[in-house]
Amino acid sequence: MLQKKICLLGASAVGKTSLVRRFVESIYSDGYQTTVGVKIEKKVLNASGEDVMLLLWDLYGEDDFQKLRLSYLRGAAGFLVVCDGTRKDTLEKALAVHRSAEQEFGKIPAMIAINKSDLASEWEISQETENSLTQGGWSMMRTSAKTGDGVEEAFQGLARLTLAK
Amino acid sequence: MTNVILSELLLEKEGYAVFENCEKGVLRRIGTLPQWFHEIFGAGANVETSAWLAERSPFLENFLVDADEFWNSNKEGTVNSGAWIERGLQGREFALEASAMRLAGKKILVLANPEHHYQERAGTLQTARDFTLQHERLQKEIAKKEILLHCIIHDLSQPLTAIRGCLSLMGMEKLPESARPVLEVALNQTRHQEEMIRAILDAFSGELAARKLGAGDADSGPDLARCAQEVAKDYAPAFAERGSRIEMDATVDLSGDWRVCGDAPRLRRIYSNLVENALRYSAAGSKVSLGIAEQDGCLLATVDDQGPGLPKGDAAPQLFALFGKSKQGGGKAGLGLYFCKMTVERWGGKIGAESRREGGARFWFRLPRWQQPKTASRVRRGEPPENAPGPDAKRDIGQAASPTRDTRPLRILLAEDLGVNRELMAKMLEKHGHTVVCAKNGREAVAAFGRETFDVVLMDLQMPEMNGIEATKIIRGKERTSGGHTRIVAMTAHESKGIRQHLLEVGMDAHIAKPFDMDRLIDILEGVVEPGDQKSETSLAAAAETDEGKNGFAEALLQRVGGDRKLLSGLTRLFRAEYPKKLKEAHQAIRKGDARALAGAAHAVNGLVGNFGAHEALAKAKSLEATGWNGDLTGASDTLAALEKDIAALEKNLDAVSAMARGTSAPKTPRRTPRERK
Repeated sequence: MLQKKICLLGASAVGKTSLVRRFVESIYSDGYQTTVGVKIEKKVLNASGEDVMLLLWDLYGEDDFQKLRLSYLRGAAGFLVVCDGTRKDTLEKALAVHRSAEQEFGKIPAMIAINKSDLASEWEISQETENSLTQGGWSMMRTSAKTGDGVEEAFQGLARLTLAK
Repeated sequence: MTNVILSELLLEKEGYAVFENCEKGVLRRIGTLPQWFHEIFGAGANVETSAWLAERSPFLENFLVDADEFWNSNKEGTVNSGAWIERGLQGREFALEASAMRLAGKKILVLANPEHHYQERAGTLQTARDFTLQHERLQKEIAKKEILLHCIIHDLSQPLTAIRGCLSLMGMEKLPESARPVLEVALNQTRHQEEMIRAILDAFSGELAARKLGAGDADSGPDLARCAQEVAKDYAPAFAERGSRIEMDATVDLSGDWRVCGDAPRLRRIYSNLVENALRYSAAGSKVSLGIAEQDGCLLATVDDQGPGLPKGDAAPQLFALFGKSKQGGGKAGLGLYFCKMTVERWGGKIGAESRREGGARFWFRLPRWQQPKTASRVRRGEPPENAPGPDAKRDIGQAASPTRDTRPLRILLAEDLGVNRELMAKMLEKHGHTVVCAKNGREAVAAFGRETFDVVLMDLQMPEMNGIEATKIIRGKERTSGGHTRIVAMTAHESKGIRQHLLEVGMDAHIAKPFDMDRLIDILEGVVEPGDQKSETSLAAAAETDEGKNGFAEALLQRVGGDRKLLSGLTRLFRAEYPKKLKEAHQAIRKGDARALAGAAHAVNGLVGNFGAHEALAKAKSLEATGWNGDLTGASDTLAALEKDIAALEKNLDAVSAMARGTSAPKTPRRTPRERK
């Protein structure tokens, strides 16, 4: 079966692990449990009529305490660039990590997941920002690991992008 | 030997899995494999090649590439994988770390399960990240509360106009003599409250430099004796209630020149805080005395009480520390004296306290004398500064309508949506002999303007249906076809240079910030309808147009700052230091798609270019700010690029300004603003 390495990139506490757990195990836990190292999960999905095994590299969030080792991204077929819609600065951080990855490994299919869409009242990322990213060529999905909204679609979309490459 | 060490020290005691990487990816196990290894990879795991490991662990597959690179290089030490989680065959998760090293020429791969270390690290990171998130949340809460507070304070200022109007109206009535002092205190208090509100709003809007506190102190310097007298008067009832009294020291020559650096509202707050402090320690029958004297070229203000004096020891400096008093159990929150210290020091002065030999305490502060700018000759020694609060206070209570005042009846169109303010203003204006037609919003104002002729329009800015700016644009549009020019005075919620410039651009002639006192409004009305009258300090056209056209850019700027070369030099330096940062912030905001940040950066640029009357740049900065507030960043990059060009042009003109401000040379050929060059 075709295998695709997907790396989740983004700042800490944006919900990368929660997205993976929702996608792989269909579960969500409200408490924040920080990711210290790397955890790899697998899930088979059908994208563009083809069964694909996704190897989901849930990487710790980059912040002042931990810098991402770019060597983890070696061989990645796609990046899920995750940010927290209630903390607008996490979008810039996620994009910065993605820029570093692109400098190191070249252009690789990527999708932005703006997570925590269930927290509409605290939303900080404007529609204009989303529009300008879309105009800039980004594929994007609002997701909620809590409710599951957009999660499957985000991974499906990214899988399709990796297959289309 | 190596094998023995590894085997004995690492494998059995610490539970490491160690392999020697031989030729062609063959892995040779050294020692026995720990239990956790079997739980992950199977009890009968027989690791013979690195490919075997790579197949079972994508993480190790990735790491073995790094390991190979390391083994094939001449690098010293080890290469470490960092932590990763591997799930065992029974579903249990193991925290692992892999290291590649070279020992005695052999390529060694070590796998470890540093569970305890991992948990400890996870705990530390969890705590650190929890704190970071909590900090971010608190910052957001604070920002929200600041905005809320801003709104509340803004709303609090609204009824002040009505209150002051009522009090002024009462002052025009025949009141018993005993009621006048009470009314005077009430009016003074509303004025102080207004000043405090303005100060807070200014602090919020970050436009301290552009602030006009209403007392005209930037031009004249506040008068210590006048402030002391006012505060003494305000607090006299409170002292009387305690059976004590407050008075000016008899030796102070009240007709002297006691002007100091600073501004009147905060100087009054300093006095109020010190007097309030003295009041707390004043027993019945005691006296608090306010003195002023010259000392080493500065002016020394003293507040002497007959209370218990200061506590022994080195408590005096503590009194002025933040929350200093509350720590000692006396006074209130401990903010008042801290405020005094901060303010006095900011003005280049000193503050202190000491016990008096004759008993009681002396609180004192020393401030530099105010230096009169060479070209600002309006205030002469011995005369009260223009707009000084004392005379104003009296005028508020009835002398405003003095028969000696030279006024001609005006037809005034008043557009104000708040009923109570509208009625009061109309009444006040009518009392002064003017005819007033009222409009509840911009639409009604435009309609009234079409029906009748007016000498002046008083235009509120924020009104339902049609705001004052839209109405002004329509009126100016009509005048373009019908001819004529009716003066329009804007009534704004708060004033700043940026707002003044904007109002000028939409066609207004002057403005007054709310809440305002009626006498000031009357002054402005008379000023704007009498072209020869130069009193109207808020005449926008005079400030922004005439100066530049007449004397050239640099000279006009110098005039604008009252001939104060130092101030002009400072403004130029500030501009040059600040605008690149703000433009950078604007660029970053656009790049990030952060509309609010763009508005903030553009707003700051407004203030900076506004100081130099650079209309083109100002209009673009305004437009950029509006773009930011609207949240739609379309075209923002273009506007920013155009703004940068205008600022570059302004920069060139500022060379002449710098030379002039230093006093080294005056520009022989008057420089013109970019707009004027076009």
